[in-house]
Amino acid sequence: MQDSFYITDKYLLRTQTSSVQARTMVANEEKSPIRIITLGKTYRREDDATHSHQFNQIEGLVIDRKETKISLADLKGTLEVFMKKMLGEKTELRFRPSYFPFTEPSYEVDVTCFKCGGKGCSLCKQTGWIEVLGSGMVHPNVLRMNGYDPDKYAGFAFGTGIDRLAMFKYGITDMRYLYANDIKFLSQFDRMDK
Amino acid sequence: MILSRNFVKDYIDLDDELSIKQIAEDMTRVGNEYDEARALVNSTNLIIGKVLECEMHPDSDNLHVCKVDVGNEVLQIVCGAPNVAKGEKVIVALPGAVLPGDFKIQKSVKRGVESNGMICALYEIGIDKKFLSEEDKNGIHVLSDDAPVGKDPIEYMKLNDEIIDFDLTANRGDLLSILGMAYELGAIYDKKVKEVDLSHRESGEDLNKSFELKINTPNCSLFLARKVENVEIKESPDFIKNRLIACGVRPINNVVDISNYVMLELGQPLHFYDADRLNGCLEVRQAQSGEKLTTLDEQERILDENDLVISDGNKGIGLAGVMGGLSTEVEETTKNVIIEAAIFDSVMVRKTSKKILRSEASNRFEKGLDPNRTYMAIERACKLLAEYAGGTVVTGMCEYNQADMKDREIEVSYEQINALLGTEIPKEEVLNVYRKLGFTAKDSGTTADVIVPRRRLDISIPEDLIEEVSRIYGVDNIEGKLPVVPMKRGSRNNTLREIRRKMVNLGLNETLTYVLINDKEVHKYTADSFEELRLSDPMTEERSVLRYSLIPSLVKTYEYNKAHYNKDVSIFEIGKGFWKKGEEYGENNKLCALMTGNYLDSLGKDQKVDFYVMKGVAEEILDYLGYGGRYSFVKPKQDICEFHPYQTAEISVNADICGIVGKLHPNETKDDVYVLEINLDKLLEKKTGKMTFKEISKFPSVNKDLAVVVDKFVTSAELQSEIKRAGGKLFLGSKVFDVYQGAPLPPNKKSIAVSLSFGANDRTLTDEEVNTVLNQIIERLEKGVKAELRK
Repeated sequence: MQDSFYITDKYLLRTQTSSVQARTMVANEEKSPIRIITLGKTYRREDDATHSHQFNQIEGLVIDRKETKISLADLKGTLEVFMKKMLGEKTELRFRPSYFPFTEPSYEVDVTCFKCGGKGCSLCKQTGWIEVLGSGMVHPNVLRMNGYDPDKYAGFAFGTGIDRLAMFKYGITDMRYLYANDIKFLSQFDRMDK
Repeated sequence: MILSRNFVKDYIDLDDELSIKQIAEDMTRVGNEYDEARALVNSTNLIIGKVLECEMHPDSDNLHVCKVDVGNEVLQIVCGAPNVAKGEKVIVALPGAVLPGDFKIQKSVKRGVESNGMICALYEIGIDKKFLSEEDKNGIHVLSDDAPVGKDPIEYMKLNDEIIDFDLTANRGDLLSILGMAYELGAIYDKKVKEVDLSHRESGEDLNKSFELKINTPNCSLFLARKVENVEIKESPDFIKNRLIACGVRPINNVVDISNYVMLELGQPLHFYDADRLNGCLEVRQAQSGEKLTTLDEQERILDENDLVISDGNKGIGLAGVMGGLSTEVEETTKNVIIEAAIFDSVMVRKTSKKILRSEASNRFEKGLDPNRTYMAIERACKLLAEYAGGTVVTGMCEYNQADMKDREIEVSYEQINALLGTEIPKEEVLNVYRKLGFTAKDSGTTADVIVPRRRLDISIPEDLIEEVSRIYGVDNIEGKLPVVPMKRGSRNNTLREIRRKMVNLGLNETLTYVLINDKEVHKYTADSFEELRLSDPMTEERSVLRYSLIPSLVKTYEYNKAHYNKDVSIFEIGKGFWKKGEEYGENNKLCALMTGNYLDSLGKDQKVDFYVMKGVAEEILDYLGYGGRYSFVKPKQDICEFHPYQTAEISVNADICGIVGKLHPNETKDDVYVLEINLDKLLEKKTGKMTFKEISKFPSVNKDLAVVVDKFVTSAELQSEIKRAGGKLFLGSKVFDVYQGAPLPPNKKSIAVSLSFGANDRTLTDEEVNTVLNQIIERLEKGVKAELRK
């Protein structure tokens, strides 16, 4: 991929934390259910006010036997809690069907615009919604290739960028603030966050 | 893909009450995002006027003063266009009108002459210049003589359309057509999609007798050709031109426009050849390496065997699916047209188009096409050429077909649907969704047997059909719930989290800096030998290697803060350092801290950071992690040139070097800057002591202060370890409280003042007992580090 940083033909800096999902599944070998949150640094060849070549992602993955009925409804409930805790109890979510190769069905998740509260403004392009998450039910091929029988197992996955979420939550106007580490910036976050 | 409301209304009845914005939002909810939804001509208060008088402005060389009849009144308008003239029918924006870009029209005075509105060019009311003729690009638009004065010019020009510009997902190639959009809207609003009119007459001898196809590649699965004779090249009718403009395509002439129109309508790209410039044959083959071909844009392209070429049997005349060739292009003089409708391998088209040009056509080939549509498209083109270009369709069609025409049959169980979605949707509702989508679904008790039309290339497994249920039934109608599963807290990063908290509690700010640094800095602040990890294709030199130590990043952060007037900087970061040794790649978690200026300013007391403060932070962390009594600060085995020669120590834990603490060398910075770095992976694998209770003495301890003069190379740590060795059982501990260098001491000497404490668990020590130990200590110091007692 042209937006990756390569070290050799074999080694590169990851562009997404999804690699952890695959490794966890392979290491676990269908022995037990998986419920993980992974987060970490990721890298892409871009740098501007809204993109940093280094940024952070957080992902969740749940895989369990079909008897436990892990479903889209569970994914919805989980993300509702996650977003309300992060952005405030009044936050509403909108699941939009979308397309990602590793989930089926796939959804992009919008939250009510934190600037205008959903009325429509320049930040949300008058729609009242801001896209924050990608998610979906794990694609049967992903299960199969990582050693899980898709007839017996199902699960959901989601992921989002922590930097962008932080910008939304605190109203940070430029991603570069996050990496400049100005003491006047850092000390604004030196408190309990209720 | 841009949807034109007028265009899609050919195939589906949309409620006039529905606003374009509402349609866009409804499409979004089923997964089709949009960038904008608006009227095609986004202007208000326009009216058709007739120019009654037109004279030069008395005070200007290019302004005209016009009297314009707008039906119920005659307005005086100042106009700057060169082509305004008496008798013309024109578009007038009345005072109060708003043109695109929030441009408000008001009564005004132009160089002393009153102006009540504006005579408009098409680009001023919102038609992009790229769609316009030369005259319209350079002046106001002149309407035909039959334009009704006082009426709405948008309606008159049939530009009263609305558009939605969609940003579609990569799997929905079927929506790259108006007909595909109609099916999607039909599913949302439960409306039936109308038939496409393919009817036309044909005559003459069968085309197969005079024309031949040669398909010499496996990368073309379907190729159809028909002929239309005696076409008349002219301007397209308004509805074709306007729909092309609405969908973002520039009208050229009726024949070219029809090929684009059918592509937009049905999603199948077509190519029209001037039949008289072919030799009765079309061939599809792989290009030869180095083969040259001049494309429509008059550029010579050099091809290789991964490009797919159309030839006339002798030479290449087009790049399949990407761009036609110059030699057989339809021109003003063309009379007879060969229509090509084909399906080429999507990967091959993508690779060639990436090299040459990405177009509306190549995009559709890349996403995949429905062969049934290919047949429809060629008939539709014949119909439109007969109707709007006066052509005669020749009997028969040349046909090569290896394509899979069949619809897919997929079985999905109701239980599977409801398990994956977490719902209890009744089977009738499921079947209803498939019916709305135009699929054929049969209920077989526990499963729905669904026949998915070929146009939906994205649907191949039961999960795809479940997604369709969630889309059309509505995700909003699925209630979220929390999974009920046993959970346990992960253990992985607890220690790092504890260290982070402790550092914050010590009053340092946590930073997050870039892992990629300048290659000039990667070997600084360390004596370790390793090979750096270098990016093969960095964006800049500044971000070209992976850091080994975090110190360069924190030094940069300190420099940034200094430049931004922050003098007191106490920061830390926990992150990874990367290295390579031979074929082995590795990474280590490291804790790094940097301190300068005043520390804990808020306590109201100036506490300058010095070596002992930085070392104290290291001790706090080591003690907190349970290494108390197991670590010492030792002189570095070799000098590291970025560190101060005398104010630097390595941290030895269980007799193994795990980190460094010290002052930056004056060559690095003139400020007093102190840094600390600990290899956490190395540290945390060392054993710690158990947390156990030690009896606390009920008797008071005795403190004695001692000041000694030593050579300036002797460190406090060395002094303290000598004291400890001589102290015996009654010695409890020592603390350095002053270090002094300068007059009256000789330049190579320094004074170190230490506070010593003594005690026992079973008694109060006598003066004699304490003095005996103290004398032992002094003796040891005199011998060991040549200390002199300071008087």
